Amino acid sequence: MKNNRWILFGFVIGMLLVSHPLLAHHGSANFQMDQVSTIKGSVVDYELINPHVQIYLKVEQDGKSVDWNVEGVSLNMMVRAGFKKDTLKAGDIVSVTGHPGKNGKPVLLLMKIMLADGRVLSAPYE
Amino acid sequence: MRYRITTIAFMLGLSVGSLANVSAAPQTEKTKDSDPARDLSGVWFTQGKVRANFAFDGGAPFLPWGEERVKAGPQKDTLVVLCIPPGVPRAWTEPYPFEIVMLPQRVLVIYEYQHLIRQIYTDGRDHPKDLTPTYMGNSVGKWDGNTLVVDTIGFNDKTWIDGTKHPHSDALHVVERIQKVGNEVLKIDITIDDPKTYTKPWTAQRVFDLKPDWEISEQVCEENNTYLFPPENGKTEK
Repeated sequence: MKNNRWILFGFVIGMLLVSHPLLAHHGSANFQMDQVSTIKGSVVDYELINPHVQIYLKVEQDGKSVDWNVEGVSLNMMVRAGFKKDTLKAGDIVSVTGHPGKNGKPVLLLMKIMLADGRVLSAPYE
Repeated sequence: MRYRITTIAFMLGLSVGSLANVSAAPQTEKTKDSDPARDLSGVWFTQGKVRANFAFDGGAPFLPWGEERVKAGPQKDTLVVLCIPPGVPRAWTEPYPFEIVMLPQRVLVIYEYQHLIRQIYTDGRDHPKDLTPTYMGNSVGKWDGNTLVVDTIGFNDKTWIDGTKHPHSDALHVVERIQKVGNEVLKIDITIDDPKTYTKPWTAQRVFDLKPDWEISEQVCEENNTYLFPPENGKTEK
């Protein structure tokens, strides 16, 4: 009888622990969703693909050139937000704001980007 | 005298005849089905926070001590990334639009996500007996004023209620009350009832904006899917 009570307690606590809303989306699991950073660099590559659109930048940091990976959302939703095949070209200087990666990794979950021509495009949803 | 009687009879005949015509004539006034408030058609996308945690919106009732559920074990973390359908009501929480198509005896919901199509039968039928359990269940709908009340049963137990691992059994019963608010907003009030898993039903709500310039596009869940097709270096998609 006593054991059953402890099993129930453990089960309930376990369920509560895994029911954290931040675990809802596997894609945001690698980013610090409560932090916002801005980086500026030159575009190396731009992939308008599924499941996530990718932008690769070279960013000068502390005298070193660091390779950053900016991640957007799905192709369909990024297109609706104004991202086209030719929106970014290698060499474009852009400024990107987003949620930084965990553990100091040079990755960013896109919130908005200022393009070389000054236009700003935003991620289609949070 | 004969002339007067004939005239009266003639007038009576005309009156009776026109009454008969009135009842046989087709109704020309607007019927309930043509009420624009009942036209839910259009492409819709979530207003506000896209991913929802239904259990916490209203406060999920505690899971009761359910020995069977514990023995079944936690469901796989990555079912939808393996392109398995998300089920209902979780289908309303994916970050893609859906389109509602109104037909005379069915309402279709075309979800861009996984290109899922739900058929909501509005021809007055009940759920079939002996339903084969499915991921998206069997849906029938009835109008309550200008609210489409959708009743869905016949689920398997392989999906979650939402994106935060709340399980359900094959006894899941979902009621969705779908109505327009004005012309450009769609509101769905959802009641989630699963007597095998939860102590009582609870409600949640989703609100969507009309997107008049959007069309449902192709969405291929299997494309570049590193969960389905792990690359040789073993890394999966984040």
